[in-house]
Amino acid sequence: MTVNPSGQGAPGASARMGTMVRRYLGVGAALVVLILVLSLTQDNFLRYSNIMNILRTNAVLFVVAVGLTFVIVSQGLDLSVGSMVALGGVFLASMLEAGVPAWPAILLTIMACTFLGALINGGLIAYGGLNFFVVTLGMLQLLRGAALVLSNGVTKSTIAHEPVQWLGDGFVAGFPMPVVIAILVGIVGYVVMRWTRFGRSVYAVGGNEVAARLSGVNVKAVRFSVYAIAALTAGIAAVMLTGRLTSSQPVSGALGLELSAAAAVLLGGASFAGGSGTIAGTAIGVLFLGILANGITLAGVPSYWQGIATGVVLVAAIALDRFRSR
Amino acid sequence: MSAAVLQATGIHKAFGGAVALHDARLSLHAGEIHAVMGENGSGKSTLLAILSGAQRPDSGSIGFDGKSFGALDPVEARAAGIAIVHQEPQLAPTLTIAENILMGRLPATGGFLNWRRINARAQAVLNMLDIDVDVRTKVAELSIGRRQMIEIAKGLVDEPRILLLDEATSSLDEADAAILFRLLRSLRAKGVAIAFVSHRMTEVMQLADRATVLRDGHFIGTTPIAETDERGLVAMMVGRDLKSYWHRAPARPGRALLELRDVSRGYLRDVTLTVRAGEVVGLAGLVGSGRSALMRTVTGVKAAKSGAILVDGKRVDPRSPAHAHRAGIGYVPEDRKAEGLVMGWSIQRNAALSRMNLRGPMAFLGGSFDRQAFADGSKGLKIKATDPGQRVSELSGGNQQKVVIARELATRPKVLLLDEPTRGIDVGAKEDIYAQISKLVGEGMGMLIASSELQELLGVCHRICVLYQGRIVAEFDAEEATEEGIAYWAAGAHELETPSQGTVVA
Repeated sequence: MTVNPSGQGAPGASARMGTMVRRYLGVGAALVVLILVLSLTQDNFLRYSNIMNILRTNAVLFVVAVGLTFVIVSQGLDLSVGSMVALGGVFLASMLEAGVPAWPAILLTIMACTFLGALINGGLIAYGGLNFFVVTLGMLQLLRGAALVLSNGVTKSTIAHEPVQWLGDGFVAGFPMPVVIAILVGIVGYVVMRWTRFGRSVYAVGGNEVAARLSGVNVKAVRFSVYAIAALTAGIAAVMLTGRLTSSQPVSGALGLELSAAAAVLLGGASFAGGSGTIAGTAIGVLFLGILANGITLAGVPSYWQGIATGVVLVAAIALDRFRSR
Repeated sequence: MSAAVLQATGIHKAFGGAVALHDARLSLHAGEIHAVMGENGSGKSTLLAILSGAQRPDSGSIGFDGKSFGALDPVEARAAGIAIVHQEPQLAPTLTIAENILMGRLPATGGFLNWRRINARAQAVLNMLDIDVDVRTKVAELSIGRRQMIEIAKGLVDEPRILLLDEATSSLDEADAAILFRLLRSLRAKGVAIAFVSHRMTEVMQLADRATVLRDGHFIGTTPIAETDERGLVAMMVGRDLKSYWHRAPARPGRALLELRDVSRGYLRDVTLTVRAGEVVGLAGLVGSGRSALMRTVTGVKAAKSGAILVDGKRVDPRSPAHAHRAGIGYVPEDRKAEGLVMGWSIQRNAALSRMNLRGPMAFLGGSFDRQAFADGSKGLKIKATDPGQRVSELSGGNQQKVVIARELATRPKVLLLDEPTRGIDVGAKEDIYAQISKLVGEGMGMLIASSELQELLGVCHRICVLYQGRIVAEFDAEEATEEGIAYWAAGAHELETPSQGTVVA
């Protein structure tokens, strides 16, 4: 064999290190710089309470972004996850109001979201052959509309329901519960993407759909599954968000969440061209956006600037990546 | 032969650190067909791109029209009568044939497009190429071979004085290639200077007057074709003498590994075919005869509508590529870039792609999985790469093709189906692939090879089946097969007269 004539494992290892460094260098380095600057300029930044605050407020975003990573890596996009979170909250609150015990209601909410996303998004895109943009844009409107119809636009308090509050805003062993959930979702997502055949198939479908199909990947099943996964994480996020807000918010809840999550995934090294992106990258992307927002608040800059900062960072990161790869 | 109309001397060109051309030379005369030859990566395409003005050389000079230039400008070059035809069609699929042919120079009156003139001019070019398609057809509806002909039409529409063809025939079948060659000869008679890059040795021998050989960006020599032969050219290209270019394993057919019984789907009709252990069976036929369709049916990409497909004596009837793989059928598709490889992945990850699909969906793929799959699949293939973790997109075409083959071999197939296994790859890689085929067949594997290069089929196969309009119309043993005999059946000449050669099957 002509490959690797030295017979050592070293070049392989160094090449892999090289791609690792390249993959995370851009946003990772920016994240480090951001943390350094904020640590030096803002006294409150490094406080335990502030760090926990950042993690708590971004747990929902991260959980949604994990699901969306699967979709974007498969060369798709799910615009309906924000509306799904809102509808899930309404569904949960309505069940609780109707007297369904909290834990079954939570489980039913997650299952209902997964079922809805799998059936409509997954079914129409994977098996119906419809364009993902059209389907999920329709679902963005449809699910938000359903949330409004189901609730009549009224917010319902869930404060009396202990388990919901615990999942969204509680603590376990002194650690915020939503952060624990986000970490668990992240670990499961990471393992599935990185180490299983299914995860590899998602990359294959995003990288070259025809090659994937001809080599034996069930492309339709993969596409179906990624939209089901996105809906599953949206369902989990719905429960977390309802708990954190102590109520369902059909009108304003999770508004624009799908776009923030997509921004985080793209910042983390994924591309709409498909085939690239990792859960670890998504975690960095979410942290970056969260810390940026936190820094803006700490520095006393009006929070209206947050959108501008996020937009600039996103476009700059992707432009930088493009120029570097030339 | 007159004096040179286009002359490049001392051309040097580097991309980053990689030197593509080093003192390259080419001298084109009016009224000649000039083959530019060399292995992949020898700089042929770069040289043609420089002559068309698409790329600027780092140094060197180009003599054209009695003047000397440091570099040509692409727009001026085209206006001066230099046209280039690319290997891969560069067409806008949603536009019509006519719009594509005249792109950038659509005739207009007062700012409005003159459709009658556009279509008439495009039609005139298509007539020259014997293409019987409405010029208002969208390019998206055409096959790869047809698209390549449209790409050639694009080059001809301005009636160039100098025509550069960069592997323009690699996706043409023999009939289209024959039309093109006829046209090239008539252009030559009109005094057009033609340079063409081709990996098909037969084409070069039939068509060219002279050949210039490049190796690793260096000019090796220019020789009149009449004064050399295939062996001589190959020796110039690889820098050594190739003893046996073709490898045919001694025929020792064993038990039937793949059996097709009356398989039909779409226009495939009642195909019956057997591939035995230790046997290479070839599929000949024109583009559209059903070669690729047949392979896709056997591999379950599109399941057969009727008939039976057996592997090693057991009925399988593959429903999906995964199903076919599990049954022991491997498949190397025709287009390695579009259908074979995930270009952003490493070599070893690509090599593991088919094997991983033999596992369950949640199966754990550890760090050694890819390495092991690559090691198993690539044994004997001589893949040239710095590291199995290298991106497959950085490899040459021949090495990429070997990676696709390695991927299929990693599933340990009983039968391997190869669709155009050596299209557009260099001589050295071809030889490696033929050697590997011969070795595997010697070890008891069965092979089914579809190819539009008859020389290739004659060189490696034990039996050759000819497809015509979805049916197997003739079958030849290696000893009795000839190019003429196969071409006779492939072209459907048997429908015009009583059969004279080969064994009638259908």
